Amino acid sequence: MTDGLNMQTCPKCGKENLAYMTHCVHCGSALDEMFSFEGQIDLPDDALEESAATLPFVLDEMQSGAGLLPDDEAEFEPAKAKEDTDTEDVPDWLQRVRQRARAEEDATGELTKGIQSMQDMVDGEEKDDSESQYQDWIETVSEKTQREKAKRAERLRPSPLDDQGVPEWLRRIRALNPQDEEMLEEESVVDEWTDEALEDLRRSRLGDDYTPALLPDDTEAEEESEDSPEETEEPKIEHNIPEDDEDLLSLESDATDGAKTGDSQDTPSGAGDAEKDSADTLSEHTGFVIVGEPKLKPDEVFDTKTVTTEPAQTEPDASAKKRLREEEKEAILQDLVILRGQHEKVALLKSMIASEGQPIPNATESKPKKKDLSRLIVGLAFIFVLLLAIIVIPRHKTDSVPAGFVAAKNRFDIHLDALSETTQVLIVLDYSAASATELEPLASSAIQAIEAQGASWQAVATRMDSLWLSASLYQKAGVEDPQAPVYLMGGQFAMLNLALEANSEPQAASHSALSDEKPRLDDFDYVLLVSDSSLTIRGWLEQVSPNQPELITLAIVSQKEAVAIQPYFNSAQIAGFLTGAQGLSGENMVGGVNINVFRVGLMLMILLFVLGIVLSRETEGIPPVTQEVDE
Amino acid sequence: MSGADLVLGIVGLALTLMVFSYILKDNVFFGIALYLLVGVSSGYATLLIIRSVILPMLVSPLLMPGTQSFYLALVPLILSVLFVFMLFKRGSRMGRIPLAFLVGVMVAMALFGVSRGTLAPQLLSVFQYFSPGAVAGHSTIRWWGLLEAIAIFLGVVAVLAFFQERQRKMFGKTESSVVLTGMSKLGQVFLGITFGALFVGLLSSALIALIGNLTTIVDFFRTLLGG
Repeated sequence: MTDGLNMQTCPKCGKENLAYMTHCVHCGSALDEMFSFEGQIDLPDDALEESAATLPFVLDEMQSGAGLLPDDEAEFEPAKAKEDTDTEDVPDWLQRVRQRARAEEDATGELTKGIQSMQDMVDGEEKDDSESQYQDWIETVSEKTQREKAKRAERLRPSPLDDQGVPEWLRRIRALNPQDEEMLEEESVVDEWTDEALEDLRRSRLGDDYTPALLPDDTEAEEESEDSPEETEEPKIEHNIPEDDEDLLSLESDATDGAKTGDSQDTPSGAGDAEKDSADTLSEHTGFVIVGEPKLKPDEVFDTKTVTTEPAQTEPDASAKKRLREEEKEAILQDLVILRGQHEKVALLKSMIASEGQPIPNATESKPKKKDLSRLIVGLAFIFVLLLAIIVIPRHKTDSVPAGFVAAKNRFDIHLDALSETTQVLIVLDYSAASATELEPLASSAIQAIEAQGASWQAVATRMDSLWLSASLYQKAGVEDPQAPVYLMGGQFAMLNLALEANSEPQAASHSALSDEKPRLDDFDYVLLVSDSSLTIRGWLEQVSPNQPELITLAIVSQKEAVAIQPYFNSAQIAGFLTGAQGLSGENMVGGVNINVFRVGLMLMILLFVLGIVLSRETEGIPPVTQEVDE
Repeated sequence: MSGADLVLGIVGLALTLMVFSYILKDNVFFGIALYLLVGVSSGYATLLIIRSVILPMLVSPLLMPGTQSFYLALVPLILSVLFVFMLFKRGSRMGRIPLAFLVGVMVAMALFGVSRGTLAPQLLSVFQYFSPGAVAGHSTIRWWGLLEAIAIFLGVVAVLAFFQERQRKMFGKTESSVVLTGMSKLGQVFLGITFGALFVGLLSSALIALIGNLTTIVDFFRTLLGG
């Protein structure tokens, strides 16, 4: 903190102080360096005493001797006296020079005299300037001190009081919380001390012989304050710097007393009370309200302390005042709690602003309080009925197939029948394990039909899980020595790359790292997409088909994506497709499952929907629980 | 039934029941099955990427310096290294370079593909229904085809009107023509039918998957019991 500042050393204790300190902060002695000037020689105390002792002698000699003579004579007479004393020692040539100088009146010359007089004039002006600067500096310092005092007095000026002597800030707080005010009034009425009660209390505590110390009367103090309003506006500022030796001695004695009595219990509590009193007084006078635990005490902040007359603890009036003050403090603290609540509301508002645009939970949505087992019961019943249907209902072959997307299925069958030994079919596998039950029976039947027609085929996979699912597909299709599908990583990027490589020269395509495994689309006549995602089919139609218009596209898609694929069939971008619920001719299967069990399942689901609608209507009859917002 | 089939069947049955326990509530068995699926899938994907992508497309070309493949492989290498900077706060700007490259290519691909593969063919398909050849057929008018064409046209216009009306309401514009409001209502009907068909397809797929898995379990027990 003191880096870069000039420090001054206390002449008494030898410790360092800041350069602008007037008194030592360690011992309190005066520091005169503040008032030292440039060019001034600081003499030790002994030298000062010596100079003071020799001063009268010099003055006497000046008054009686050459000091009062004219300049010419003053210069001449010492020289004459000195000549008399030194005549014997002076050489001959010097005596001749002196004689000539005496003989000639202006031996030093006019020029030398002029320079000497100008030099004397300049020295006089400089002396006058330094004196005026010193006066200006003193005036500036005094004005600054007065301004600071005025500011301090304004800062510590009490808030206006009403007729009952209540400050304005306390009236505002009471207006904010009138309930507490009423309680305070009731308590004050209950706790009102009469003179007799106070006298009884004094006697019971201290005995009859005790005579309380006389305190300055409040009325007198008020009168004094009225007489001297300036003094009340500007309380006496107390500081710890002794102004003279008596203060220093009293400070040292206080310090030793404090150290002696530091272990006693009265002193800290008394100090704490003094601090509280000072804080309270400060808040009363300034109207400042400190929220929460103050980090700095008011005295530390303002570096001031108002002088308060410590009343005797035995005085009942003082205890009553203290109690009243504590009650006022409690009332303030209650209002501070309200302020904290306001802070919480501000924080809540901030969080609401920050979460603006985010989905908020539905106020009418209430979680079921008790455990709802209805879902479990309904689900188990549904599973049980399906298991029963699977076990009981036999599978048998039939020529009837379920309706739906018949045109697409017919077109698909037509293209399968049109395959020949020279036809190349590329099978693209893009489905997950969840759709394997639905798609693999259809895809395996298609592979069997392709092989039955003598056409050659190759498989690629655009999804990772399709790689291992291909094994079960080949197993269901009864493929001997199947070749693992080539993995095309990158989704639509890979599709576009595949289409563009087919249009490029074979030599250029050979630079690809996977050129040996990746198929060339220009070698194929058909592509069969086995997918449970319409996005994959759309990606193929958008990236590959425009670049390979000769390639005929067939598809086996999940039932859930059939509606999304239908427009592409209508626009002839897909030559034909199969869906999971269509099944194959000659099989009483739909998507690999027994069609009769599938129908039982549909019936159960319709029943559950109707049940759900009825139950939801009953639930809607209950008024929703709304969350009241505390405004 | 071999021992492997028996073990795999029991494991499959246990996992199925664990997943099915979600019908009660989200419990630890469902979590175990879910984490098992995610873990196995992640491990498989990592190995597959290393074997199918990183080794043949990046490492192998870099081991052949001076070749064309070597210089081509430097591009994905640099982009990959820049992408690693996304992990650090200071270098996140560097990581945006490959990301911007990727997003730019994807947007260009999507725009080009949609315009050529979906938008133009679908518009042509709708116009095709109104071509004189398609409407008139060979010698007589194909009334069913004509009705189908009108329905498709009406559906397209009504759905567009619905979205237009919705957009106007979103911007607080209350005044609208009677025709636009009527078409918007009709568009809601078309959308409802479409979403209903999609929902039925979703339910059918789920039902098929459930029956298929239950059938597999029943077959497993039948085989186990020698039925």
